[in-house]
Amino acid sequence: MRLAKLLDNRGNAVVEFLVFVLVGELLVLALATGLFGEVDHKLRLELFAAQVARAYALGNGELESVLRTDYRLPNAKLNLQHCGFGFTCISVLDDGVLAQGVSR
Amino acid sequence: MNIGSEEGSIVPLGIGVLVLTSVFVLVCVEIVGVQMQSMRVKQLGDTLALEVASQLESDRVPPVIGLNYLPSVSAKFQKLSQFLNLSITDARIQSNDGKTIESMFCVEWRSVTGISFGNFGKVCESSKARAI
Repeated sequence: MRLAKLLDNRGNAVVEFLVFVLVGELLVLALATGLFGEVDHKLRLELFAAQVARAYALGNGELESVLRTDYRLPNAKLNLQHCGFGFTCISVLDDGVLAQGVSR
Repeated sequence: MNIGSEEGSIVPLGIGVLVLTSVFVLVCVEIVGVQMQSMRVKQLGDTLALEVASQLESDRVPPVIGLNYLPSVSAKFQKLSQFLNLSITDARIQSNDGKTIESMFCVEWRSVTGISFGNFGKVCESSKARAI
């Protein structure tokens, strides 16, 4: 009797929704949140590298601290490189993620 | 089979919703990935357009319409594209109006998630700098 009830196609839609759809959706959204967090970090790093390179190229290196605050990257390691031809090349490393910026 | 019947499982519907959510998330991530790629290409374009425009301005030579100025900055182009880790597929620096220098660079689209389903495309960016 009980087995027959389990195999019955007539299930409780609310229970199925809670167990399958809701839990599944929560899992997918949790993974998505993690993925978006990483992408957001990378994007902020790219923007920071581009803006810092421009700031240094224009002789406004003091803007670095302001940009760090704006892009929420207080511990990012900044490496000013000499790439010649009068260009400013900058590498930024934060939490193992690397971004480059160039400007003239 | 009665299509209006309320009997049956909602599992297929649930699978559909999960797949749609996953696709939506992946598309959003890929859009941001394209944005990041175009930002890098834009940096290269801005820098080289400004470089050519500055050279012309300092030499007091007006830009020649339609002339490709890329060979004059080829060493710089190589250096910067290598530094920015860009594999440029199309490159052009020229003037269309005799006053400004316009650069156009393209790279192959690279999927951030690694799931491209065989799709391919180009990410292009153009920049302008005033020469006179």
